[in-house]
Amino acid sequence: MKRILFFPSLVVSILVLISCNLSDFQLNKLATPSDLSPFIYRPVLTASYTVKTYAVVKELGNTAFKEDSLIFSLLPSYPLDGMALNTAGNDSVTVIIKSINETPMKYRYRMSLSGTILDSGSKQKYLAAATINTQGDVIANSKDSLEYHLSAKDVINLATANQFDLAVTLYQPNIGPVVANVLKDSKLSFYIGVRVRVNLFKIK
Amino acid sequence: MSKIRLILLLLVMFLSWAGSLYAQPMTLYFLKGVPQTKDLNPSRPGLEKGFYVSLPLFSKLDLSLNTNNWSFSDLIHPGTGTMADSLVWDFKKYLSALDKNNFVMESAAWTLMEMGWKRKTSFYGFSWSEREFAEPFFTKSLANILYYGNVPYLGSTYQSGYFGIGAQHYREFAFTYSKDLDPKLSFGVTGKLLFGMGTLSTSGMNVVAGMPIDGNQINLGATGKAYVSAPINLHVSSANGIHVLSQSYFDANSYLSNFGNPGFAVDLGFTNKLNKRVTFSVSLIDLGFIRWKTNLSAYTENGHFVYRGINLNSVTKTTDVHGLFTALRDTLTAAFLPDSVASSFTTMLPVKLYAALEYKVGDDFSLGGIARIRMYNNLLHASLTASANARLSQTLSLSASYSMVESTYDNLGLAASFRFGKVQVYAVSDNVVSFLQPSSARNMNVRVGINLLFQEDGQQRKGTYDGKERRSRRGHSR
Repeated sequence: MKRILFFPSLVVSILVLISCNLSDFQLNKLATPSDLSPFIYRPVLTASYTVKTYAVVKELGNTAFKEDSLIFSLLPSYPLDGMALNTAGNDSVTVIIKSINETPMKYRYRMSLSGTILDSGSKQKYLAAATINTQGDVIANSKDSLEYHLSAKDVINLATANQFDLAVTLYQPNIGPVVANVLKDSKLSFYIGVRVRVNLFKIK
Repeated sequence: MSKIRLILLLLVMFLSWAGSLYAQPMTLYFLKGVPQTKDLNPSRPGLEKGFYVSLPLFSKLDLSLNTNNWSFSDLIHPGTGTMADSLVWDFKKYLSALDKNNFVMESAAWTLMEMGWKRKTSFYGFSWSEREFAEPFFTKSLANILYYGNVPYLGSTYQSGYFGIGAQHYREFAFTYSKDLDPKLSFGVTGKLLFGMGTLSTSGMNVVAGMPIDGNQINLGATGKAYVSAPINLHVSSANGIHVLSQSYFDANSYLSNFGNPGFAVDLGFTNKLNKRVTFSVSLIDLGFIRWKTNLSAYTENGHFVYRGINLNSVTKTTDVHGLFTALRDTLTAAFLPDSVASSFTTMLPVKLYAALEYKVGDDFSLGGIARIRMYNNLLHASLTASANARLSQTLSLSASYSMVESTYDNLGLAASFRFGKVQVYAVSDNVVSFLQPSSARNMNVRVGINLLFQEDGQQRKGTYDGKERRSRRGHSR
């Protein structure tokens, strides 16, 4: 009885041990992961400009603003040293420029990073003015968003960008008066963020 | 982002231990004639009479590893097509295998000395064991953000849920006493004197990030505490915006000879024979704590930061923009630099509650059912086991079991004890199939041990329940 039971048990035990498949643990055969690239969004730059700080608003008579456009540069051409942006592990980058217009004027802006394709001049269009009431006061702001998709090559160039420019032009809306005091105290804000596909295994 | 990678690599590291880690199999509970059944219920010493001593330095070894229904192969498995010769990462499959709350529990116990003596209705036992366990736990939400990033959470508040680790290494001196109060009722108690060697324990760790849909800011918050007791010097420093935990020395002698972290635990067990065939037993195992007093490091995190990037309004032609980014990073890092205050602390052991029913089919054959609840890190883990248990001869006992453990339903267990003269060798596992394909296993454990039994054959014959004298004598006379 003892042998009848002992030896089959021994055989089963040996079979289990021999059959143990450890090939899945040969980590020297482990390939570099290719699909661990989460999308990370982060704000990079913010700016909020009050018109009177950057431009002289001409007043005519009561409060009417008569010029067709008001052009001003919000930011001096600015050296980046090619160091401000860490692009390690970034397989692709989408730059998102959001603007909030609280002025009673239509506007265009140009934002560029020299040495890259990031130049909003190529997408210039009139952007909406804030909504004003019959007295010329702003009652609702206007929002806009632009996206720039940068390839891996563009991303490399982005890291070497050496100058950053931002200029804005305000235009009279087609209808309604522009009250000079309202315009002078109104703001134009920019929020620049990046949506980055980050390869975690390429981060240095 | 390097932090994220570090967490990921730590996770992978725990997974990679799958082939070498092991616990306390429930199939052992009803294995007949093995004294170590007292480890699961001190009122069931598995010894009718006589004396036993386990093999010095290798009395028994317990190893276990289990997860909540995910396995190594969910993350890493053989590739297909052009990758057929390689192992590939499969994060998507891994995410689909995760539950809302997840953990990996590994434990190992090495008993260097054990002995016991049963005289009349009383049993006395002693053992010295080195025990360690580690249980990292995390939510699917934390894994999701590693894989998908924060973009899906724009317009909402991301909450990582609680994550962390509880890990301890301690020395245990256990003294067992059990008593048969009458032929139907037994009780047992094991007092355990504990000495902590090292621990890493966290509490309340979580991350919250509020991200408005316009993406203009990220409102970051992180809280939690981490406690360390180990003879090492730990430093939290900031390198390129990353908190780095480093240690400057480790003294093995100091570590192994440290008796400065005392603790105490108790096992309680009761067994009641309801009638001739049915026995009910219940036990509470490892109800205790360790007070950590030496080699302490403690870190408290309570950081908050609103991340908006740099403000262009402050930029002039002479501004150092690079410096602005650096300053922003430094401010962010400083906001989340944990406070370090070392003070003594207490950790609990993972406590287990067993409730079992045994139905005696014949003199040497029974059916059993066991429910186990383990509580640790404020999480409850439930297991159910059904087993058939037989003493096939004076030298051979077998138990076969089926268990449901942490939502896994493919656990077929075996336990066997062989006796050669006075030497008894036993081995138990709740999932023998897991050894065929360990990469797919979600529950692995094994216990092996060697005892020297000093008793008359007939005394051990009866196992843990009433055998018939007639059968014992017949066995003895052979």
